[in-house]
Amino acid sequence: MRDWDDDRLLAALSQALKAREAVPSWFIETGKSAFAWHNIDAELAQLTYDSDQDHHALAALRSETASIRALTFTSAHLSLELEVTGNSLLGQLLPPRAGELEIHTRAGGMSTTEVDEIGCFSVDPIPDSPFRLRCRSADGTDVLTGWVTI
Amino acid sequence: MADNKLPEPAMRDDPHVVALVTRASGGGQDAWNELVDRYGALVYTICTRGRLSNRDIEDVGQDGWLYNTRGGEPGA
Repeated sequence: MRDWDDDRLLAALSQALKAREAVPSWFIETGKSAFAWHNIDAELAQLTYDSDQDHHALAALRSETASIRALTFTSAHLSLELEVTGNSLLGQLLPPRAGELEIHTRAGGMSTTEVDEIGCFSVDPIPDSPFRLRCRSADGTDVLTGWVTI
Repeated sequence: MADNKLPEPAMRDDPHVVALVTRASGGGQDAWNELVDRYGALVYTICTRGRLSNRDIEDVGQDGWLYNTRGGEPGA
């Protein structure tokens, strides 16, 4: 946004006003619910790998199907490697470290699970609605992922 | 009102928007909700102009909203 000049911004705004009715309700609700996190001093981890997207991109090149969904979230100080196996979500923090993992659902629920000394954790069962993970490690690292839907 | 004119002053000069931002900065969820209602279409349009997929729009949108709730704090 910082690089946008006024003409481009105003053109986008003009288009937005015309398209107001076309904005999906989930987009607005996501925006409103983001406010609950405004006082959370956690570093945001970006989704940097999703096997689903990789699979779609390579579908034309291979015939076998991927049986395991894998995702990676990356922040400046920590990565979260996630793997879906059955109804469980297995994960590891990299670099490995112990801590606590919070599982937040978009509906407002929260549960916690322990992260062991080699950075491994398990979420079981996987929430059936969008959720995000917050990892607070013993060394003070505090990382929050974006919303995930499995 | 002509289609090519904005119905409102630029957001940084609109005292109502300034008041909403001030209230949201102080923890006002209702003020934040109104900001999202007012500018959600703009944010969504910027995402769609980038020809992003729905999944990418959701990712960019949620990161953008979170970034803004923190007052544009770098690294958020």
